[in-house]
Amino acid sequence: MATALTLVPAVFHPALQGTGRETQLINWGIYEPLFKAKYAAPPAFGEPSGEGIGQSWEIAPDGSKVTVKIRTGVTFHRGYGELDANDVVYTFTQAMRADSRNYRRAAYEVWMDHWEVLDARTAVMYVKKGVALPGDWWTQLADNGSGSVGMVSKKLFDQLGETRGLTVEAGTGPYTATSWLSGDEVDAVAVPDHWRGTPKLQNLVIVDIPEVSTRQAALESGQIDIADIPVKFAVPLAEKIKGRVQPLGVARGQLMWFSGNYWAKTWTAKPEEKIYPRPGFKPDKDHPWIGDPFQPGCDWDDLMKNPKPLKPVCPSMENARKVRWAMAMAIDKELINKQIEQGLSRTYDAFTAIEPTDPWWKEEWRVPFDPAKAKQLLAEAGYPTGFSLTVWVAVGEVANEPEVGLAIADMWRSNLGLKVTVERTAYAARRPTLVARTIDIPFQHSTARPFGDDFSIPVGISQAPGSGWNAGIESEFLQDIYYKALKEPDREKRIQMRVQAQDYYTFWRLDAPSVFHVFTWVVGPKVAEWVPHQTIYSDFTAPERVIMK
Amino acid sequence: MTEEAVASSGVRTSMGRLVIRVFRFFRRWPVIPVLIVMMLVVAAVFAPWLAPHDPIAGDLAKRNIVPMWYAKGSSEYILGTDPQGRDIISRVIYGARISLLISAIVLGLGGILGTTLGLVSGYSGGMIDEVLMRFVDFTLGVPFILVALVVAVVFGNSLPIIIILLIVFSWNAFARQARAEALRIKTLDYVAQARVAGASQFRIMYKHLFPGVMDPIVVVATWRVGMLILTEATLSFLGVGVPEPTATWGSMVAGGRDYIAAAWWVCFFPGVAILLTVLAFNFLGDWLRDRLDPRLRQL
Amino acid sequence: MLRFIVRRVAFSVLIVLGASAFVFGLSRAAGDPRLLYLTEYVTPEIWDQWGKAMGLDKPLVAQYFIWLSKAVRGDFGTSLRDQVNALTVIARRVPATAQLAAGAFTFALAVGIPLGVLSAVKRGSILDYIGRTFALLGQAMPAFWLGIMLVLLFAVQLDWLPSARRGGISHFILPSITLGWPTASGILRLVRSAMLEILDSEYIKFARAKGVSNALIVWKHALRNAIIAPLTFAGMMLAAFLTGAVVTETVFAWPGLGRLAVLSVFSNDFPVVTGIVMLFTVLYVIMNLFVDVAYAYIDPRIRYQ
Repeated sequence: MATALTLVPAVFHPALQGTGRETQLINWGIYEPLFKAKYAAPPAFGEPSGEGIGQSWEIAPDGSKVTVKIRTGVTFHRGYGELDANDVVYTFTQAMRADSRNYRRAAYEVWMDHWEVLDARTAVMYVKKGVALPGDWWTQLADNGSGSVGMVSKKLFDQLGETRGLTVEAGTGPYTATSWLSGDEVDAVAVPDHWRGTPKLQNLVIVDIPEVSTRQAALESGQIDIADIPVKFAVPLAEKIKGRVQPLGVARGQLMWFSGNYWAKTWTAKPEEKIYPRPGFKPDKDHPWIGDPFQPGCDWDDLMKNPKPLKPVCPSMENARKVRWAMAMAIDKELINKQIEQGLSRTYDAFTAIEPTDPWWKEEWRVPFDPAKAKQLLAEAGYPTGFSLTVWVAVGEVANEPEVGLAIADMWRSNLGLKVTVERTAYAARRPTLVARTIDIPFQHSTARPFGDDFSIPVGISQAPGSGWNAGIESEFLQDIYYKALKEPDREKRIQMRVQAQDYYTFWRLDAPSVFHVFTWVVGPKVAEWVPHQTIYSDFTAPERVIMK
Repeated sequence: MTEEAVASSGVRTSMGRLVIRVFRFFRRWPVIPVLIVMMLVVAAVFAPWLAPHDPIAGDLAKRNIVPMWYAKGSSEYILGTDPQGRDIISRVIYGARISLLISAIVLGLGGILGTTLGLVSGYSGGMIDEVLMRFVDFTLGVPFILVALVVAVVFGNSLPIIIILLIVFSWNAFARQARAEALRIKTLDYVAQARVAGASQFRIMYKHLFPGVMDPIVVVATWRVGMLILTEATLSFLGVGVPEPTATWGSMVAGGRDYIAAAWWVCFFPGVAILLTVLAFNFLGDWLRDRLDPRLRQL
Repeated sequence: MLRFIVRRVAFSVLIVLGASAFVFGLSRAAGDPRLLYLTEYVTPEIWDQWGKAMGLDKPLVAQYFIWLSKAVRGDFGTSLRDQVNALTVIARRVPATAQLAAGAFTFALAVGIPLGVLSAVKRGSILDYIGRTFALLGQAMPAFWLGIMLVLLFAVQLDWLPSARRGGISHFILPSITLGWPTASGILRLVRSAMLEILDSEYIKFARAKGVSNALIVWKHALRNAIIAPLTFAGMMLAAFLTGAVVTETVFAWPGLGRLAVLSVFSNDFPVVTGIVMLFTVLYVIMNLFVDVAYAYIDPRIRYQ
């Protein structure tokens, strides 16, 4: 069987796996994670199953460490012997080492301290002092995709050294690679007598076909059996080839960040480090969506310390707020859902991923589509005839649907009279401005609701300093609540912090939300059954659960 | 087919003669290419009056409307709309602007730069010639497409950057051609006589060399138009073309290619525009070469 | 002759040096190279340590020469994506591109030369028009558009040929046509015009007068001379070929250098990008060198120009 998708990973070493999309080793059944979820049909992720390499765990009463029992009978491919606690500890130690580029490091860095071997069957993970173990911690060590860490053999790296070792595939999964060309193709065969049982599908070919039209053609001609096809093409294609559509991956809320609102004076984590004034902060006529809380008449403390200001908001901040609200209200979300998401999706309102089905939902968070009100707000803010701006809609970002970004740009043009130029560059080209916090234009991004219903980290990457990139929005309120939530062991209190954060987001309207983008694969007629497991991104998973006709 | 062949097949009517005349006329004069180029120029200049819709105003509600001759089509959108609901014919018309603008600027600046340097190089010879020609070799040797990709990723892609890139990699053809011609012309008798008569270097170049090289330069420039349009399309395909929402044929084809099965018209019509334009300019180039300078047949 | 070759080689080295300075400058313009390898979590000590190891504390010119001295030894740095020497990554992709190139050139020569000859010999005939239309079309279609159209027709509608991936001989047909058509057009045009000139020349007329058969004149004497014409443009064809390869390999998911180049540019993998740019520059220079020397050998006048 052949399957098409994007990005075949290159490196078999936990410290050197650069991006989340490249760490597909677990999804393809070649490597295995520490924990596995009990199978649940997508979009749910599932409960811990005990089917992983870590058979069970025990959390210390004070939450300072987790003791993990390691399964027996798990062997590495290519004769590297049986896996034990040394390999597990080696893997995570490497992923966390000082010069590690591991994609998961950003998340682990928040709460994971270090690992120790207790005995051959027991590994201990220590949690950072003063930080609460997040509610979804185990999914971060499990097969939830997006950079999941697969267990590697310590023996292999001891014997071959790092440079040679990282090119040798020696996982523990039900498939082992027979040939491998990074960025293009993996050929794999089933491992006989695997500890989870011998897979039914013997030969697996995974090939990266970058062009959507070529992928469709390859599916139609039966050259490949399973392919990643955007939802806008999936339904008619599946009908045509008598196959079926398989939704996979967590639907991602598509939004526009109002970058450039660098309001923080200092980092909450390092109060001694002054960060204002800074180059990316340009609250001027060319950037009407950027407010200036440092203007005379603005009570900075009132604006930055409360979820909603207690006093009337000063003009510079209020006008920018109106501009942002106007832009958010000019987006016809239902139309985007109908036309681009084929009506299979839902509208998106709250950045923190609290949805109307949740008990904590507040109706006031909803962003209505109201062009008349939007125009009025824009006029009140002093821009009755609109203004010119550039928005960035990235090329080749798998998590984003660029057509949504382009549609929003069109709606800003037609509903508000803004002169919108769309910058279509690759993420790589823009990354320096995100890392250096100099980005000052709105840009498309997406977020997903985490697995499980634990909302322990309310605001994530957009505010934490030293967390890779930043959306160009920095407020001390959001930073504060982020660090408080990290340390808060009580789930209900964490969720309340998340609600407060959403109040803040909604009042200041720091993002323009649109719809959830759903991810789909098309399964060809020769496949009798495929039961994938869910990952954060829309990854091909569980080839061991493919049965051909 | 020749007149004899037709005659021997017995067509002796006036109708037959007319057909032959028309055929000969078309063979002698590049009527269709000239018509295409004229249409192109008219479209570019009068785009705001010719285009039925705003080329950049998208309306998602009007996504992927079929061309008017389909049952579901509408005469409002003659060639249908694209996935953003923009009118395709309007975008094709406005796209002519960008194609011509890029061609005009790149060939204008690149042509002047290349021709001048080529003339100087060929006429003065020696060290100047050596340095300039090695520089030409250098710009030919560096793989353009990779450099363009890197530049676009590092500096961002915008119309000015694309134009600069195209100039940097276009002037060399003119320089080479002009140099070769200068080398030839400077040995001709009348130039030698002018030199003997005491004409200044500048005067010789301006009065004698420049007119002499104009013909081949025009031929090279005509051919280059097609190449520039294709390069613009390739850059768009690789995601580093002229940014949205500007209508360019290249970005239309590149942006519509995923829809080839679902909405073929999105990338078909701009593709046809590219095909016809490049064909017309290449054909014109061939014709000009044969007319102006049969010696150049080897180009 | 020796002096000529020495001079030519010296110039070629100069061009390669120029290109190397150019790509080095471009890669540095992208920002601190450490940002590519290290994350923001890195400690200042490791950051400085890497800076020292990479020579970033020295002036830019010194950095260039350090980079260059490594590059001549085949060390372009560690690939960001693959974490091994960039040259190893490039070398793995060479066979696929070489095979595709072989397919494309076979197509280009097999179609370009006979059609070029025929359209010259039967000038003005229907064959000539077919040949010239073929040539004009090949130079007027964007390669990606042609590739997608071929896939739509032969892989989807007719279901005759596979649409993607490397594989048996049938996998070569569509990518070879996509990549080879423009080259075929170039060869056709050059062969045609050279043939026209040669058929018009004295010695062919003489051969005819002597009663040598027409087929022998065309396919042996004239063609032998006409076939040199495309050689002059080998360098230009190489450049066009690379552009074509980038596009063709993307459309057909062909695991060659063109795909690698695009992947590497978009993942900021500068060691690989600079390696590929240098590889093609060197190839171009060597090819032109050979052509120049070959010409000088055939025609001694060139040596003294």
